[in-house]
Amino acid sequence: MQRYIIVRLFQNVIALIILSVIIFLLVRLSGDPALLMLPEGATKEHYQEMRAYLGLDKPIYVQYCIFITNAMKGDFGKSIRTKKPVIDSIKEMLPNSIKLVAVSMVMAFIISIPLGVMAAVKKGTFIDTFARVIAGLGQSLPTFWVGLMLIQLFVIRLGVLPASGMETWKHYLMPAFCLAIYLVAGVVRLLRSSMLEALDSEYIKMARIKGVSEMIIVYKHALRNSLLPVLSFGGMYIAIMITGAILIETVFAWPGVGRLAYRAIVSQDFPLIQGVVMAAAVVVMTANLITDILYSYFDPRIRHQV
Amino acid sequence: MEREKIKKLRYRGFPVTSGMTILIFMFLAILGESLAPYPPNELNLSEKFLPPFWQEGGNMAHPLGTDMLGRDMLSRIMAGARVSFIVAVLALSLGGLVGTALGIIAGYYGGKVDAILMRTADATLAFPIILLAMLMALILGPSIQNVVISLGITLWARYAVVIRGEVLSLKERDFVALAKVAGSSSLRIMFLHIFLNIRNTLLVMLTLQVGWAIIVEASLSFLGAGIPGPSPVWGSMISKGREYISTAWWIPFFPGFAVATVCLSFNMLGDWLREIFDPKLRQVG
Amino acid sequence: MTINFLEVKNLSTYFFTRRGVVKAVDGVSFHVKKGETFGLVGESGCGKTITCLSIMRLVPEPAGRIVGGEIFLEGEDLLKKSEKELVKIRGSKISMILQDPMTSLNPVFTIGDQLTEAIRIHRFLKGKSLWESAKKILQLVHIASPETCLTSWPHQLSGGMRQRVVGAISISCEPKLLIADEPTTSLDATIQVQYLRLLREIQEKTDLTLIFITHDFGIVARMCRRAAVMYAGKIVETAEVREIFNHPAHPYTQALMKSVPKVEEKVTRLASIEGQPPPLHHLPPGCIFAPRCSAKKEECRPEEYPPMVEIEKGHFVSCWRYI
Repeated sequence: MQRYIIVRLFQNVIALIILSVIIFLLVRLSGDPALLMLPEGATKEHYQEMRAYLGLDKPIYVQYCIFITNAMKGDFGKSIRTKKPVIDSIKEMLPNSIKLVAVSMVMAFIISIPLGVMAAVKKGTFIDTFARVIAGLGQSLPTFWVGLMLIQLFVIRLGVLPASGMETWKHYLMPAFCLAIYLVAGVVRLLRSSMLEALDSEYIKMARIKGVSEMIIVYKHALRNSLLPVLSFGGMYIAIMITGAILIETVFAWPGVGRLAYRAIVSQDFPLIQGVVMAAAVVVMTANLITDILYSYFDPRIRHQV
Repeated sequence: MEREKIKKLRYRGFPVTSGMTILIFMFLAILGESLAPYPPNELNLSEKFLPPFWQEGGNMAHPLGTDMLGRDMLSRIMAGARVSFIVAVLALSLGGLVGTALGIIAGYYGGKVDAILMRTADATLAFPIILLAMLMALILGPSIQNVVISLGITLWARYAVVIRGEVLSLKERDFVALAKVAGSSSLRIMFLHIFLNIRNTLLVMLTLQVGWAIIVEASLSFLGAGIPGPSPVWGSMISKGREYISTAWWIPFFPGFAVATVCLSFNMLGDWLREIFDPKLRQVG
Repeated sequence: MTINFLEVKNLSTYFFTRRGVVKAVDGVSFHVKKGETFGLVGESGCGKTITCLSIMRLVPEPAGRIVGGEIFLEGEDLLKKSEKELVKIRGSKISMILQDPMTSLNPVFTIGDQLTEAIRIHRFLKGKSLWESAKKILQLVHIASPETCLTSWPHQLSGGMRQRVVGAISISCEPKLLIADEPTTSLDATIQVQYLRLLREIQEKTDLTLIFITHDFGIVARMCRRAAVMYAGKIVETAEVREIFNHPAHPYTQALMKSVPKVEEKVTRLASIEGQPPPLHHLPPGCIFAPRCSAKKEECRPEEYPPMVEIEKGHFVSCWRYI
């Protein structure tokens, strides 16, 4: 198991490095990086300072080293718009995003796991059809649009929920729900097919031969096996959640990193975007690692390798 | 045998509404602007904020209402189909082509090549490309090329992984050994024999990905990192209509509804295709 | 007249598919005496496994359904029992060994978990006594270090060991009837013999009644006292194994006997049976073997399936030639 984790860690770090190179090159390719990083109305002195700071007269690999060393120190420069260090803004907003994503994921699993199991156990009945409809819709509806429509319904027309901010549990309801939609769709589908496969297997037949009750067969024997594929897709889910978070935070004016990214685009705040992308990469890497560890722990075939 | 199978199954649950929606969509994409009742960008400030015809104040001249600059909603929706369609087709071609080719290579040759390609694919799948797309849009300016490239970068990985899986299982089958014995070159085996057998999987995947591509493009446009004007883009329409959500809900509603409908139709078609070709294809999409 | 331990009367299990009704088991009747080893022989797809799944009432639904017949276990009709009662019977009265040891064990639970589960359910043991009981059973199937095995995971064991564990699980609650579904097919030749010996040993020790499903006549000869030959969902011949070998009555059985090459004889061409078994959703009328039968007579035309007749004591055949 340790070997597996170390290998995955190594792969993630490589991916991170490649990403940083991509970002680095992207900037250099587009023209003058110094100009990109400066606000309008900057003076010639600012320009010279920036050039020195970025090491633009030095060879390109040295520039990359400067970039990376700064990044590792957490120095992504100052936001053009707010003039604050980028890293501070990120540190401030990140916990808010994490809270939203966490609540959303809990919501998603509470809905999708029972639904996926039921759909498989009662295959062909109404609940199966219902689950598949939900899954189909979940993957087809643009979540930010759903968010807007929910605001129109619950905030403007009915006035029961707040439109923005994050003070009470009511504030979490709509954004977390919208964020969860796509995840629910994916998990329901995956869980349903994994369960169907498991319930058809020889080891489940064996359990029935032993005289184990159907309830235990479904929730202990089959589910345990079916949750593994769901877990292994963890990495993809994180990416989906982050994408969703950017959109949802924008729609609901949630003070998180997603909204930060959106505003950065709108105001062409390059250092901020660069910082957000790198921060996202680190978050993804960490989340992937956690998922990998969990997966290797729960799958005995990996935990106790022959 | 294949033809008989499909003939027998053609009448089994073919999603007619979805099929029709898709046809309408493609039709509009090609002919859209010329068919629209009004030029989509024609301003008419005296007629702005007209609600859809079933609400008070609306009329049949503008069945879906008008936006904040008096432009006809219906025409704009019809014209917006084109951009979405083009982007989807281009992105799927790019991602699908590259992904399938790499998947076949990875599956066929195995070993180090396979390992490297799969690791790269995993890494790509796990990263929210939307961020990279936003970065690109900021640095290079928003454009169709950037959106297509960003979508293509995410898509190739899915194709590569699935196709590789198929190839791995096909590789062991007899007809490949036969071809080798008959002296076919590796390239020929790969691209002729194997490809003909993964055709179905590919078709199902492509269909299911169209919806996804349209939604991601709409999301990017919504954030301002997608397709720029001047012709109408559904995502941007939602974004610009956002501030009128309380006064003129139809401005952001209809573009989003269009996205949802088209996407749903493609997904249902893809699901039906999957059922026909092989109900066991579960990892696809 | 003593009641037979297991009495199957006219069992029919059909599968309802899009292509039609598949008559996997059609009017099957046989009986097994207590402590006997009974063989169910036939080629793949002839219905032997479904027959036994029907006995256990584990036919995959909703496609499959037992549509008729009676199954008497020690005088009680299993087909009339509720699911609740069946759950108690499975594992404790009847048990089964499945064919493929690689897939019969749940990969996410330890051997100990899977082995003790049955004991816990049927014999209500807990804690230390449960563990000791599990160890004893592993010793019964000749597993060298039971402690290690109990804490191992399925993927850590070899095929042969896994099949022993499966056997252990099946007998853990001392069932009276054990159905072994081709238990040695997936094992190496050398291990096969050991396993068969093991089953024999267990049977002698516990007075178990054993039904052996196989397509291998060698195993039938070695293990079974009596056997029934199945073809396309029906039983064509039932007799003591010695009789089947020396005086096979049904043309199908005769052809099977001929197609097994004997070591002493010189063989130029392997004998085989012409044709293919009929598709089960589209059976020919009358005698189902007729299309392939080399001993066909005029009387074999009628639309009826030949009834089972006793040609000698204990020797039953379903063939128009004997009527």
